[in-house]
Amino acid sequence: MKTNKAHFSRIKFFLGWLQVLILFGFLGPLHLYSDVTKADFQRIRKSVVQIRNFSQKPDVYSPWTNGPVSFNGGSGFIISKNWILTNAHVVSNARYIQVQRHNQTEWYEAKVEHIAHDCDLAVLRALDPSFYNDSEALEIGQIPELNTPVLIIGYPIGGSKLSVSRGIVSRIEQSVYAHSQVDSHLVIQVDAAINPGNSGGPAIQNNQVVGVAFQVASKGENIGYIIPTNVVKHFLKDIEDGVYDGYVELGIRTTNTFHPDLRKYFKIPEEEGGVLVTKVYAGGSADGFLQEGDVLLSIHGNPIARNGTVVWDQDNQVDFVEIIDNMFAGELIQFEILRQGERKSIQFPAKKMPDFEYMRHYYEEGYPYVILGGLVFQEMSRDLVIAWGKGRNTTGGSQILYRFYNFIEDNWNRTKKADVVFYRKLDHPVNSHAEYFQNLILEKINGKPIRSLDDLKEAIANANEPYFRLEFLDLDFPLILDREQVKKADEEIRQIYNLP
Amino acid sequence: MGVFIFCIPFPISSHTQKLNSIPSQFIELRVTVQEDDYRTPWRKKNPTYKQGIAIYLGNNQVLVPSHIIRNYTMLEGRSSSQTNPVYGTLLRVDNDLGLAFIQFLQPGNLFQNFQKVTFQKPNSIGKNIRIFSLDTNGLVTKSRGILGKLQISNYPGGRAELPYWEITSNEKLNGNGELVTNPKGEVIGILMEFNPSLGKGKVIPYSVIHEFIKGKKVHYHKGFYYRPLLDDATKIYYKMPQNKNGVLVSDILLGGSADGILQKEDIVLEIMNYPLDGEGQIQHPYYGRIGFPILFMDLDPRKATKQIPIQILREGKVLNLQLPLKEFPEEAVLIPFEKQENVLPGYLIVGGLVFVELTEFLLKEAGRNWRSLVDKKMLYNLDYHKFRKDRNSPERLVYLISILPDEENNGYHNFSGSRVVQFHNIPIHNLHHLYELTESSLNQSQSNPFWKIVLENGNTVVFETRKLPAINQKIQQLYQIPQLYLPAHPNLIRQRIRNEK
Repeated sequence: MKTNKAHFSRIKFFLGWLQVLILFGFLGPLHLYSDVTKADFQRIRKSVVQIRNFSQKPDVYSPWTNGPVSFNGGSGFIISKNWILTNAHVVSNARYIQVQRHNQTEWYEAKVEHIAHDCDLAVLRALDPSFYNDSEALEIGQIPELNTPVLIIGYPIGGSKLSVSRGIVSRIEQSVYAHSQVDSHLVIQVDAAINPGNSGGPAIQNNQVVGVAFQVASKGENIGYIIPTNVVKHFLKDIEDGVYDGYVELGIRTTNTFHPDLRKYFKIPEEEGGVLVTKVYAGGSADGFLQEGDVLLSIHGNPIARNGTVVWDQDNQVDFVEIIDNMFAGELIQFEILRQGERKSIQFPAKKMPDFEYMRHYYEEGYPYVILGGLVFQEMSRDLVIAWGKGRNTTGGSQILYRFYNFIEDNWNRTKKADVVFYRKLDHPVNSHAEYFQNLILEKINGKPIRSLDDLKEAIANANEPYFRLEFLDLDFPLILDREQVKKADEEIRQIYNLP
Repeated sequence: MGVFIFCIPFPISSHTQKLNSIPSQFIELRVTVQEDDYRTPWRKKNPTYKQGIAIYLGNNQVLVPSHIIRNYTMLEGRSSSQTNPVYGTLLRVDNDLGLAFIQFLQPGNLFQNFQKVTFQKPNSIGKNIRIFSLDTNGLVTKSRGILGKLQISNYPGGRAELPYWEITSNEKLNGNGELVTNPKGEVIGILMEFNPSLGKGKVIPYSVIHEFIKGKKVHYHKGFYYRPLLDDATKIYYKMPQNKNGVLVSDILLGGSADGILQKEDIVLEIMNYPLDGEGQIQHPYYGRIGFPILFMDLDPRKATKQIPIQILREGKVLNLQLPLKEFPEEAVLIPFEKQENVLPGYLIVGGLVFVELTEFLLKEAGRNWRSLVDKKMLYNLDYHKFRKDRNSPERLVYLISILPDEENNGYHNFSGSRVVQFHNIPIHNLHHLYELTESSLNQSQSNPFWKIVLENGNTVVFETRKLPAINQKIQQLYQIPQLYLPAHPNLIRQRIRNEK
């Protein structure tokens, strides 16, 4: 029974251990299926690419610096436009990327052309055209049917030679993509021997790509996942204009309508299915169009069952939001609803919900920060919460954790862009009394509300009072800093702590 | 002024018992305990046992730390002269002072050849201490420790702010009532807590034991919380006079001593003419440097006036005010914490949905790592919003904590863990309020065809009112629930309402 769901185009609230593990390497025995001949395989394998990524991740705790350089490998394959399609997590935070095809002796430098962290896909291009000699673009096919075989091709851990494993499509469902930890899209579960390093490699059926290997279940043997081609096509269509826009968000919470008394109260006809809207989130596509208490009966003419699913691909039931997942910004979402017992048609444009960005892992770019008198501030982010969580579980932490998980849920985003957290102190006599305020959310400086890091920068820059009066969430007394002393201390702190 | 302080304790007995050799003065107390279960509050947890050291005070009475006997069902005493258990009766308990009296009406040989322990102000405290306990054979054992700083705080399970000594010892101690003496054998306190992994413990000092034995019942509370005020920038910001020190008022308890008198960001400079330092300490005539709340312990309710002088700095001006003396205002508590006394694990079951009030004790049911395991919003509320802001705000937070699944509540099975905010459009004040609304709805099912609640996460639960009695009865029988409602408020009559068994 599926009930009580938040529909943020597939945003899920997850933190901590992953239910799925991202792959960075692999292997598997070579077996060919009857539908992929030896000649076909010879052709296909020329398009499969080994990827080496030398990356450097920003340091969230010390955002003025970067972490160490690390190396990871993965797989990819050539598609149209001489693009190499792979997973975003294979090439995240890249400083230098090399690619190589089967039986090539040289490594070729490549650059990321587009990267989509919300669906864990990226396209690269090799800088030297000779990389593509004697290769051809693989064709993107349809979503495979259940109980049909697929080949997983790639470069798993332990060698530079191509590896193939086979499996059966065992389940098609919506699930969280581990790369961002919050986005949820359709995934295909296969029982192939997918191993670290397979990431980004193609899943082949009938000589076509039917998915991209990307993660495995942490519990259970030989349970791997591939990104289905509807997600791949959504990504490729999105970047047609040269920019990746990302997924749209419906931005509502719904619950099932199984209970007959609930149905009676909301006057839902017996022959109808429908789900009850229990919350409408600020900034989502539905904000201003749907209301709490509405019953969603159908979407784009597809009846919504009492558990919130629609019939998909003839005989599969998937969550109705899968339809929205395949839409683009600006396209119209159409619902048939019951509002106070009256049947209505509602339509509104699909749009992104940037407020959710803080819940994703950050890649590529550093973490903006502000230092005031040795107090280090950042906007709340998943990476910051994880870095903090590795420290300790303090009383102050419950405020951070609550706000992280509930910032959208409790509509705090109606009044502010982000929570700004005082998460670290660079010790100096000027801030010796500030420890009590650490790990709390800054609300005001000198009476000015802080609704983003930019607000904080502006408040500091425009301050002309002799003191900074910092007010924090849930505390009824301020932290006072002498402005002149802070100015002097900031310079000393920069030198002591080697700040840029 | 009319303020009386009796901060210099006096002997209870004219005889000073030196404990150089520690004759028979302790018995072993075995306590059968049955804890409440806050998650399934219609049942109790399985009984467990606690061992304590009880100190003989004569008249067949013994003294123990009160936490030993919390939720007791049976008290048994043993000594080397009485190996068969003798059953005891709780005579008096004071959770604020952390102590309890137990009497043995038919002691047999329990106290044979015993000498009562007498308490007198020790002539000196000293750093080296001795801790007397009983081994498994009932024989007296002696351990050594070092006396640390005198602190002031509320005891576990209490509200009054009282002094305690920190001690360190690398010997095996339990914190279950061991007697602590100075090297001369003078009793300086009773060990109430000990953490073996840290080698640290807390001792109830002689003076607090003295208060308990005297029978003090009223414990005044300052009614506000404060933060140290030590840095120059903050002092200058608040225009603190150069020759003054004080602490910043950070929170005021609804209905407490400071309610309506102090304001947030006031700076308390003096209390009862004792000047405060930046950490809130005073120079006490008996204890030396200690936090100013000690002054509230000193006040004798039978003699003291009902208010005390307090000097504050407000917006740069020094004001002399009178602070009325009140006990800790329980009405200020939104989420009961620490003090378990008078907090009942009440519940209400409607249509198989189990409603309880949020308490710290409910969250602690998650086990030792409860802070990591519980719902983060509940934990946040406990940490930052455990007190009510005003009298219009809810008295308690009511949660749908679990569901007893049945076909009758199909569709609501995964709704648990959210706060109940409304019954139809009526905000919920506490569990009893939800009960009353439910009863009223059931009694007027013609005009109220639906029982409807809205949860904080937006989920809505609806039952047809006319069907509810039958559903309740079915679920009560299916899950063998003794009753569908048990009040959680101590001030309500604990009657067996709606007991349909």
